[in-house]
Amino acid sequence: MHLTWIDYLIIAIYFVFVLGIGYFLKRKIKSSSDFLMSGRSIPLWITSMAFVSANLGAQEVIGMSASGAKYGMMTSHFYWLGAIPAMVFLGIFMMPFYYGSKARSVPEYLVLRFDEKTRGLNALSFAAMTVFSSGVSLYALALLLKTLLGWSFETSIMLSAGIVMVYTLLGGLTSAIYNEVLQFFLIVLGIAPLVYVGLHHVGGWEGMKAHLEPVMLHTWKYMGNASDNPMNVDLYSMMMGLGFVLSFGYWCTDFLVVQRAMVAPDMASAQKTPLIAAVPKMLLPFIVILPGLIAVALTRMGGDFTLPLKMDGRVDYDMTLPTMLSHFYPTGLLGVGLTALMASFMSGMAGNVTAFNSVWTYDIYQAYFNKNASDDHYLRVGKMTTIIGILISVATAYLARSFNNIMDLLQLVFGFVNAPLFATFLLGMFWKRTTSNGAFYGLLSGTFGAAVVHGITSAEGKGGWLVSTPVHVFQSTMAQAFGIAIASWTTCFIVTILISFVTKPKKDSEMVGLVYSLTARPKAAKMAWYKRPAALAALVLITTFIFNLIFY
Amino acid sequence: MEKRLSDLRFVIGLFFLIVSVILILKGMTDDPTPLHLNIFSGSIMLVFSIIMITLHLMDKRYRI
Repeated sequence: MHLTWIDYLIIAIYFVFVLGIGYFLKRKIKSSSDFLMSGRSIPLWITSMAFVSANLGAQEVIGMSASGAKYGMMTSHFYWLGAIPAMVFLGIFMMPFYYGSKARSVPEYLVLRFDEKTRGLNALSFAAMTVFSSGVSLYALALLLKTLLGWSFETSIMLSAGIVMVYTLLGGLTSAIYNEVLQFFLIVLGIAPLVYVGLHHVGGWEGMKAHLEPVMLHTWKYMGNASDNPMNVDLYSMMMGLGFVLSFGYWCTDFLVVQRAMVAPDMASAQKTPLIAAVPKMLLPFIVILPGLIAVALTRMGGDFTLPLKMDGRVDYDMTLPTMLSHFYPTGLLGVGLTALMASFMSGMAGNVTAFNSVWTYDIYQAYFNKNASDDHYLRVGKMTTIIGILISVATAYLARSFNNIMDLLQLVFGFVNAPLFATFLLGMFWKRTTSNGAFYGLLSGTFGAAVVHGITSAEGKGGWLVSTPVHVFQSTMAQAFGIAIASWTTCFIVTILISFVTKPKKDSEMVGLVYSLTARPKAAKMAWYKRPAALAALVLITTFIFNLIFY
Repeated sequence: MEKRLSDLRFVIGLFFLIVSVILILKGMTDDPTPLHLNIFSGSIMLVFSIIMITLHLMDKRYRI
């Protein structure tokens, strides 16, 4: 990819703006709450855009276009099945407890509902996951910049990590959120022209369809049998694994995204945040997945565009989007497109770092090391944690460079930890008989169950490390991941219930505002019906259903 | 000015205004693509930036 001074100028302007946002927000940071919680004063439209953008990291932009090229329209299951319903559930049913309990974080809800050990387990695993995830994002960005621009690994790492550190350190969570919104619009406006130019070259929608197999153009039609679709996943695994366990586990319990709703100024805004975020989320497949399909069609047309290949001759799907940008974008727009890619990586990294510093400061440092320090002290700890979090991210990026398998390992561990968590929250919020011991041991057993299933099954040569002959061979690693998630969630769910029946629950009076049956419903009587969260949720679900029907 | 820069709509509008001007100027002087992608994308960004700045100006808190 050859950049000119205009492209570099656009990248430089972007860097000036992200740093400038941090600089202008610096004077607003007066307390630890301002730095770590944005003082719960961020307007609804910003929290909503930040909610989508916090998830719009490297995996989304690069990964989904790669999946679009590999699996076709089935990739949209990660949005229309694996995101929207869970976002609606979070907004309508779970946000009243997160926001109403006044918890500053998801782990803090666990200490209010259950006990210290459950909070500690969740806080430690979440802190480790976010900081490693941030490092993986950094590594992927450095790899991309090295491949596209020839920048050295060190330069890419230091520049990206340095910029994220400066703007996060200056303006805290508000700065990260403001930049996420800028990054969201940049990603949308920077990548969308690629769809326009791609469709033009391929002969429009009909031209694209003519060069793709029918299986690439449908979401549900070929789900009856796993071997009939390119993902090699059957209907049950898709619905239960992705559509329930993994999606609800991520969107409803991961503090990285939930934090964006928790900083809204009031309950109604907190509830509406994931619902409004669902609107751009349901449209994102047309920006991030469609380029993958277009790339395959263009390659088959035999023109001057072809999908990139790896050294071993296989298609390098991860380079689909960068290759298309490089091929179709002229000087100027190329700078915008590349800046959009960099923004997606930085957005993902900043989101992880701000979630990490909140959880570390409130749920680990304040809970276990220094309970009664001054607010100024926690503000300093929050800032120090930001620096340390970014340094660990940099170290993880270098580790990932030395050991390729570490990325696979990290992804695996994330799945082990995230999947059972939703069972804990579901029971904790909606069944008052759930006990603290039930939640803690249920979580542990869910993670253990996930590791066991991975150890006794295999897919594409992965897993099966506990036995000489795997008891089941999945048709793809994705099917295996869904299977592990289902097993892990079910284990946690059953163990939590069984232990809860034989242990003593908390008193009802201690769970008011934390459990559905003991909490008064939020009043929306003074609000016009169309402004109520339920109406918005219904609209979002109906539109998502229509998308599923159109691309059936 | 400091007050304006603390409003995200103004900041986003300003960013895309600058980028759109660069793209449109580049497109008018030298754009090898048949679709005039720089002008096309720059125009969309310009409209978007005007909307954001207008929304900012309509907000009473930021009127001078």
